Order: sequence, then C-alpha cells, then structure tokens
Amino acid sequence: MDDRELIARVRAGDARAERLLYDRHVDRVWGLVSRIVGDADDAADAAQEAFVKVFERLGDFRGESSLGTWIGAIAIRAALGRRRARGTREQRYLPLDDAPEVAGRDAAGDVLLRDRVGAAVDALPDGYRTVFVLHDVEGYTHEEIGALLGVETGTSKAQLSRARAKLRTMLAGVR
Amino acid sequence: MTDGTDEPGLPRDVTDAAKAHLAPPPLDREALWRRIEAARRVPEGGARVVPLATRRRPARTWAAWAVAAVALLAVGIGIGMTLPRWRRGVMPHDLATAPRAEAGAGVPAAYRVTAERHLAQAEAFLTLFRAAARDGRTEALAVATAAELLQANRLLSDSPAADDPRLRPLLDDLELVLAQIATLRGQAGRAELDLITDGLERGVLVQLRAQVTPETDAPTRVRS
Repeated sequence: MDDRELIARVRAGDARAERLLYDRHVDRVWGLVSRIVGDADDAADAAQEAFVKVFERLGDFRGESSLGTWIGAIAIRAALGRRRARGTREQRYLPLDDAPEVAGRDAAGDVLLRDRVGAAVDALPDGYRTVFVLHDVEGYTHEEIGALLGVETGTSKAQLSRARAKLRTMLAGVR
Repeated sequence: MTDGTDEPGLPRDVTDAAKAHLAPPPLDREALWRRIEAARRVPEGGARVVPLATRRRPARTWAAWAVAAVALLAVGIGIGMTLPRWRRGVMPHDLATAPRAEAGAGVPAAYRVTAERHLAQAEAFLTLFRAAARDGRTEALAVATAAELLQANRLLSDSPAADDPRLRPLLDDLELVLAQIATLRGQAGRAELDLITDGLERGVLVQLRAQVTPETDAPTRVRS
C-alpha cells in the first residue's frame, strides 16, 4: 500500500490503516523525539502527542512534502515543546556560561568522552542542538532540515556552524 | 566534511560520542500505541460528559453508578477550578496569572474535596472492574467509564490539586491504569486482562486504599 492509499484509508477511518501508518513511521519519530528531548518519559509524551496530531491533521495534508517529512516536522515540534516545558519546569538546561566543565580527558579516555560530549551537547541552546542532532547525528541534509523546521537552508547551516563552534570551545581540553 | 558551513566537521570520535549519548532508548511500540489510542479517545478541551438521559440503560448497576459519579465529578472539577478564586475577587481573565497554591496543605479546599471524591470513585470503579475482569468480562460501558475517569484524572493533574506531593504520583499511576482499560477493544483477551489486574493488585489499588478512608459525612478523606 503506497502512502496515497494509506492516507485515504486513514482519512476514511480505517483502523488497520492507522496502525500501519504508525508502524511505518514510529521508529523514525521515536529516534527524532528521543534525541531532541533527551529523556525517555518526555520522548514518549512527545511521540504520543505527535501521532495524535498526525491523525487529527491528516485531513490537512496536501502532499507538498513527503508524508515522512510532514510527520517528522510534527514530531520535531512536539519534541521541542516538551523540551521547552521541561526546561522551564526543572531549569535543567543551563546557559552556556554555566555549562559543565568538560576539560581534561582522564585515564578512562574514551569511556568518559561520551559523557563529556553528551554534557556539552545538552548544554547547547535548543536551536543549535536541534540542527546539530538532525545534521550530524541523524544525517539529514540542510535542505531536509529546512523542510522539517520550516526555516531557510542558510539558517540551518548557520545554526550548525555555531553549534559546532560551541562544542569545540567546550571540548577544547578534552581532545 | 564542510557541509556548506565553510568549516570542517567535528572530529569523528566526538560525533560518534554524541551519537552514542543520544542513542534512543528501547521503544515499546505496543505501549506507545495504547497511549496514542487512549489520548485520541479523549477530546481536547473540557470533560466529555454524555448526558445521562441519552445513555442506554446499563446492564449492570455498578457501571451505571460509575458513569453518574464521573459525570458529577467532571462538573465538580469544573466548578472547583473557578469558584474559589472568584470568591477571592479574582476574575476569570486573571486566572492564568493567579499564583498557584503551595504543595500539600496549601491546596484549596474545593480541589482537595474533588480529588478525594475522584480517588474514591476510581478505587470503587477499579475494584469492580477487577472483579469483572477475573470472570473474563469487560463491557463497553466500563471502557467508556474508564475513559471519562481518565479525562477527570487529567483535569485534576492540571489543577492545583496535583501540587500535593502525595497526590501527584498517585494521579500519574492512575492515569496509566485507566488508559489501559480505556483502550480495551471488544472482549479483551485473558492475558490482557491479567496484565491489568495484576498491576491493579500490586500497585494502584494498594495506593488508593492507603489514601482513601470512608467517613460518615463525606465520601472519602485523604489521609494526611
């Protein structure tokens, strides 16, 4: 069943088609929201919210992008919303000036590198972090990121450049 | 790798470390699907309360009681969310900026009473559901009642009642159980019912009964 037929069936209220759509896209949605949100519980909330909106709004889908891109964009918005909500709730994400100390690579070497890189990535501002995750971790092109986030390609490139620069600064003592 | 950013990419070991740090946790596809189905059953906005007069006559007395209780509870929550502040002279348009109650003792009485009633009704519903499930019976009305209790639970979770640290985890656990029941379709399988009832007996029902005690002039009282 191709996407067009699948969409038609979901719009008609076919429960099996709804499940098929979910099965086709859930892994990608889960990867996106998990990496953006960074917390399993919030990721589950974001994934739930994303699919609820997908089913609610599928009638508005006009096919201007692929179904996967459209769903991905909804998932990213849901994930960013969760991330912002959690940041407000817990003040978990620190300003860069207060970013964790990541200098110094001790005897554990590569074992600790992941934690230090992770701390640095988590300390990035949301905009930088999202583009970094989408480009360097998920492997999307700037054109695809532009479509997912609704921004110009140049904006995606600029955000990635700034994200990398921040990471280099924070990890300067590690490597 | 320049990627049009006029600069080299990060060293490979840094990128690999970032990928490892950001690796998604395992996905429970079925659990997530059940959550999505439950969420889609509950409309956005206010509580979905079907007028009692339009309901078909229920086959079981307990189910009819549960539906009526949920309807009253939803109305009570709606009143409770506005009335106390109006009494203090805060108009509806000020509600969004009005300070929330402190945790625990600071929870306004209207919310506390509503929460107590909700917990008592949930406890009664789950007890009756468990008994029916042991016989392998589930009914559409039980599923609908669970969905409405779920809606009431979410209203409470978003109200100052949830500022009480004793109530918050209970409301969260209750939501999961009610969502499981609300997503049952048709005649649920034995394994599915066993999963729910096992969870009830080990978790939520025990917590509910620890919180709720009967009193003569009030349906329930949350233990302090």
